[in-house]
Amino acid sequence: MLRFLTRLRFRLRVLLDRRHGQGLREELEFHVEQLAAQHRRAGLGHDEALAAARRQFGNLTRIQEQSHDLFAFRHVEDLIKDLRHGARLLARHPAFSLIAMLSIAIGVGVNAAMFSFADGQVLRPLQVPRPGEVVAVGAVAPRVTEGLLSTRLSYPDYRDVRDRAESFAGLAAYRVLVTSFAHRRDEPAQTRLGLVVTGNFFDVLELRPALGRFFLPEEDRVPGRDPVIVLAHDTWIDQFGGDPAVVGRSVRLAGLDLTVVGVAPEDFDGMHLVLPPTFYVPLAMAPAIDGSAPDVLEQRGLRSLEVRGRLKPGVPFARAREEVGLLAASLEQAYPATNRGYGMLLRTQFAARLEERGPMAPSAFLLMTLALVVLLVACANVSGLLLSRSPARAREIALRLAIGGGRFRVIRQLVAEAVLLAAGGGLLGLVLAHATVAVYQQVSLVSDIGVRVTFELDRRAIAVGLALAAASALLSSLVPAWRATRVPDLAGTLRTAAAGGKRAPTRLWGRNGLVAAQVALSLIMTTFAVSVSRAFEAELRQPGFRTDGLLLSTFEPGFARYDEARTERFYELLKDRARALAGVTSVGMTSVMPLNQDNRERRRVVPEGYELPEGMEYVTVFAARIDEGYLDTMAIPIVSGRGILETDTDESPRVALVNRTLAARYWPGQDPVGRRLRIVGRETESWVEVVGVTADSRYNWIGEAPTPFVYLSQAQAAAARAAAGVTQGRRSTLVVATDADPAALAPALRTVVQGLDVNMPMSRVRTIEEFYHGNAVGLVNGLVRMIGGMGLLGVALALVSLHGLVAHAVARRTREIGIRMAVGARRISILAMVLRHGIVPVAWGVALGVAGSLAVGGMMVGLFPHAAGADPVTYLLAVPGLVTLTLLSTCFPAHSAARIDPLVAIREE
Amino acid sequence: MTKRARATSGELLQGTLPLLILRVLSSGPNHGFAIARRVHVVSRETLKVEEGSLYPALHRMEIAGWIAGSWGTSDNNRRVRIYRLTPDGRRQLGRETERWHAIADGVAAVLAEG
Repeated sequence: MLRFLTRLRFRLRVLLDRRHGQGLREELEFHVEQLAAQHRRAGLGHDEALAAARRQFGNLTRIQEQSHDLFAFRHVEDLIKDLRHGARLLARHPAFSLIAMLSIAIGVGVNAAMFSFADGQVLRPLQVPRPGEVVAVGAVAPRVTEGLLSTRLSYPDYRDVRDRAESFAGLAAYRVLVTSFAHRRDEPAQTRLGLVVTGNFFDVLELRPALGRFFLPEEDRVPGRDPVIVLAHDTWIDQFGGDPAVVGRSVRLAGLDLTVVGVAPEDFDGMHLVLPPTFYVPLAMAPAIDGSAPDVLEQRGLRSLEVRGRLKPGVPFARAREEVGLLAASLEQAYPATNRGYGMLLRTQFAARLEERGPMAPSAFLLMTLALVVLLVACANVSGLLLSRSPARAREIALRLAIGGGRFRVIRQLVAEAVLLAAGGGLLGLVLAHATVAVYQQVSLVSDIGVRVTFELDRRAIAVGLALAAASALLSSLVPAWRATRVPDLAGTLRTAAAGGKRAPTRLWGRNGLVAAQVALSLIMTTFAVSVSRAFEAELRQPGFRTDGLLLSTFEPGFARYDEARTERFYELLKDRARALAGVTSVGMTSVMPLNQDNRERRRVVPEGYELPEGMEYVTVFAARIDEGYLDTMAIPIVSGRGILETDTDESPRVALVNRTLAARYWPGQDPVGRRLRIVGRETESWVEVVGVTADSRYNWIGEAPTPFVYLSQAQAAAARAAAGVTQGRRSTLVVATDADPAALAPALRTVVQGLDVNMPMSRVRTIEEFYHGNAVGLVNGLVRMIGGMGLLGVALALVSLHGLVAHAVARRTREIGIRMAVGARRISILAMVLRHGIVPVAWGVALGVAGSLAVGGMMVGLFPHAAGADPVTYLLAVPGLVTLTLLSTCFPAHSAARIDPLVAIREE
Repeated sequence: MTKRARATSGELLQGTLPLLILRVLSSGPNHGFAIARRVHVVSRETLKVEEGSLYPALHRMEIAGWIAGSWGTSDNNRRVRIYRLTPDGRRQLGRETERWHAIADGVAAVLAEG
């Protein structure tokens, strides 16, 4: 390295020393003079001697130039020359340049925008030093459960892996915690999300506090002993105005005072892309804050922690993975009661992220793929344009080759032009991307806990856009450049090109192929966009529950230190008073709203009489706890049996409803009513009887496949919770149905709640329309619009290209057309002849496109189970539409061909 | 083009010029003309350094860092570019000499075997 640097310095000094070349001449002249002197000594006259010396030396200037090439920054000079020449050419053909730049701008803009989207959804790495090194340890339970998997670990399992594994430099654990947060005792509390972390969390991630300190290892050992908290940087700025004296102050979490010890670094926004935490607290404080099991540090069966770490330097991933597997096996042996069937898996942070992001990950990749296709179409466009211009430039190029311009130099000249196009197009593209992003930023999720989707044109997106612009410059220019310089017969080209002569047919083949490919790609994109939007439209029409006339509000009595019994009384009173409001037709409550983004509930169940596959012990399903009014209020139909009744209390047998999918999967062909489900708790098991079956609805994501679901009685579950020693009141959502405007009901409802308890933490009251729009419609429409928009851009690009192709063909055959007309060809036959230029590639493109979109349709099933492939209607919409458009775009040049005046055309040459 | 025509009259084998330059400079700094003359004289007038290739070679070697040039004055008080060997150049001389001997041995062996 050092040697390299000294060389570089040396070379630079030489270059600077020799820059102007004046020394060169002097050096050579000296030599010539010495030679001449030698000749004089041998007896030649003065002039003769000098002439002989010069002859002997050869071309002084040439040698000088050779050396100059060595010393000067020759390549830079050449490049600047090429760029200048290119700029002049582009300025001379403004229409050509504009279309080419717009094409690249569209390609780059779409990609930069989609990258921003994917970055905010999936790609952006953790904001920690060397994020690529972070790995995740997760549980796998493939052997005892069917359906949903939890990837989390219990604290004792985590501790054992951390202490026994030798592959890791450090392992930390965390989980999300939602609670009430007040930055001062007398301020109203807000619902906020934080991370519960192990004492080594920040050390493992190698973060440095922006202020104060992070946690000490002993602060996560004894439950409830160390009430300390680290604030997120944003919280510190927003709530404390960036006051450095914040360290040592106290904040309130769920009514508990915690002392601020530090502030997290500015860039760090947690572990989860869309859930930026407000604060960080030690794991041992979690039970005191959210009422979770107080012995969380001891319970091996309570799997709630995400585990992340870094490998020791030099330890290969595969070895660490193996070690983790072995440790899991030994834990399984040592603790069969809690760990039987549980394995552990080491994954990269990116793999863990993909899983965590659910359906958004494939959507993001889909959009990025489509964007790349648009870019390809755009490149094909520019390629076609450059190819079409190559005949016009063939003479210039042939001339340059003929007078000894190296082929590489000519290609470089052509690439320089493309670079200019790409630079202009790239910048324009970033402007487009910025505008797109600005439009989509308005789509936001409805969330109480600050779920945030970042969609902005940041440095990463800009870098990607510029890189793609550069790539597209190379991609679209190399083929035309290579072809243009492969002139087999220089003299011939010079002659015919001078006469505006004809082109070899192979060149056109290239352009036809490009146009066919563009038509095919844009057909694939449009059919895809149409079928996705049709699929989504169908989905949105039937989420399986009512999407109008409802008012929603969510309560967190636990944050106000309500216990279960008091919570139950509060909800009863609340429902009574809500029911009494004018215009209210029914009320209901649920622990989770369908399609909400904040909160999921699941249960392990064993359906009675169902033969679990070998080694499985239970099935994990999504669940909700509801009251007797909920199904009715939400208009979720009960297809057989009954709903939850007021008479289902803690004194009567426990009951449940299942949805059709669950019934069909576990009791196929049987009547599920009267069957029982065994619910597997961590320590206890209980039986619930299925009293009814509901229709299916969407639960987690509007496009999801039919999902098994179970509804439990809220009252009975509450009693069971109380019996299990859970002390904190449960979160619940009140759904009020009205035949009037639900939004107008909000103030009355708020008054009711304040009448019951002024301090009850309550979410923003919202209508079901707002909720549904935020969590389903807006998201879906955004996706559909992005996909459709890209399809349309693809079509537009293909049309421009096709138009260029046909216009070029007409220009090339003007003379021939003139002759044909002169000898009596009818206009219509000329028209047909020209149209054929457009129809051939379009026909190929449509054939390829249909085949391609059938293939793509197969892949789509995984993403949108209800929109299985493109249906006939899609093709009926897309194919004729596209064909019509393409024909239209060939019509203009064809029309102008048919109006060629034979006399003028023939005389022209 | 002219290479083939002069192949018999002391034309240098390709790649040997830098070796010769390095060798000449290893006995002390010198200017281009002197280097060419010295090669000519020491080789008992068998080898002749083409001026057309001497200077580009010198400049290439200067950039490679094997030799360093500086301006000095000649016997008749003219400004002249003097080249001297650098440590890098001395190493290069060792390498090239070795390489040359290997080639020469090889060629001799083939000729002897006939």
